[in-house]
Amino acid sequence: MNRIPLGEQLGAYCITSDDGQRVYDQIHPLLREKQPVALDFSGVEIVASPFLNAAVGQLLRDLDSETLNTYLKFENLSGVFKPILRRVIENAKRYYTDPAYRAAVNKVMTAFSEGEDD
Amino acid sequence: MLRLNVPRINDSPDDYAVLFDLWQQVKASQETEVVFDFATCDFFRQSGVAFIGGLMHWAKSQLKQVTITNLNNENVARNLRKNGFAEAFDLPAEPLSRTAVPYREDRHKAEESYLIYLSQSWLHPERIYLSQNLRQAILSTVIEAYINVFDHAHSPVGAFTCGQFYPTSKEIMLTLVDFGIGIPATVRKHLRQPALSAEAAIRWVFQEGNSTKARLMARGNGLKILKSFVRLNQGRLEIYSGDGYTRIDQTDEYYTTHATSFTGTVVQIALKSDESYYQLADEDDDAEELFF
Repeated sequence: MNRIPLGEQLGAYCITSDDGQRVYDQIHPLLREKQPVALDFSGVEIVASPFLNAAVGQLLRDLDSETLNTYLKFENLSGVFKPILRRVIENAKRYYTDPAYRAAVNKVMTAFSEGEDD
Repeated sequence: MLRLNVPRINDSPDDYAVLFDLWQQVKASQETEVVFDFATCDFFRQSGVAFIGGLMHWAKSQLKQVTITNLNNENVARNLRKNGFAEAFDLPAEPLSRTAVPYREDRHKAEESYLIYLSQSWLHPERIYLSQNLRQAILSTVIEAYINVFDHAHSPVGAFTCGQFYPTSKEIMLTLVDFGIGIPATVRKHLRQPALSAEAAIRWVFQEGNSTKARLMARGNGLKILKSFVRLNQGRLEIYSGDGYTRIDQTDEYYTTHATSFTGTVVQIALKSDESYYQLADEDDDAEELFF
């Protein structure tokens, strides 16, 4: 098991998308190889959706639910944050698995002029 | 010189109409000096503190000189001396009051510092008892609103916050103001629907999955999470942006057009600090769960 000690790596707060991206960069290659990964939230006091979107949500871009349910575990995650995690995953599933929804989003994004940064 | 009469300010839509009118006066004025006159102000809630503080900085960003005058009401003056507002504007100040939730300015995103502010000032452990779970839930919810300001608002002067704790009603309030482009303008641009009403635009951001920042990954959870928690907690979430206004509480979700338009965004959160208003979902931390 590849255990990622988030409290040790990031401290008490798992809130920013930058931190989430760092975690994603660690776990995505492992999960693609079907290696078990545990995100250990010991010592983490606050979790917010920008972090979870980046660390977990975008895994659904190229990994399916069965793989992630099998190989990715969440340890010591307070029940307070589980509804947020579930919402992030549902949202990501919709984005990555619903072609019509994704096409609509991408169409808008394509229409954005260069230099637009929101 | 533009002299603005700052009257009694509570936190109702009518009070925000007054505040937004002050912003409109500054915006429309060619004067280079703006005086905030508190002569008739005998009550000044956290809504006014956050908004007027932001407005003064916004006026400065428009190259106007700002001053405060006739801060005669002792209660109002004492509150501003003890909540950090006076210090922020180089007025005579006093040490922070134990019961005040300080006025705060954020020019740039500083999530950890903001969490410490929320945790140690707004939810001061000596003032308000909260279980660890409730404290975590509130903090993680409010930080979503704060992050939204910097991810979406493009506020030239940042974000302005002030809070209040009401021991009798066990209610905690927080007002977060930015002077950015506002939710309606952001959504109209994002959807390429320039005629979309402010009311419809704010409604759009509360729909599942919608986000103006869904470029590289699925996003757009912040306001929905805030809404879910406020409902669970029997609290109240109010948002003013453009001429849109929404109020969400346990039983109602109300979108309408506000009487006076303000380009930026105000998020006002009221939460119950009583544990009996909050129940965690029935989740077993040790259970083997399938999240995906």
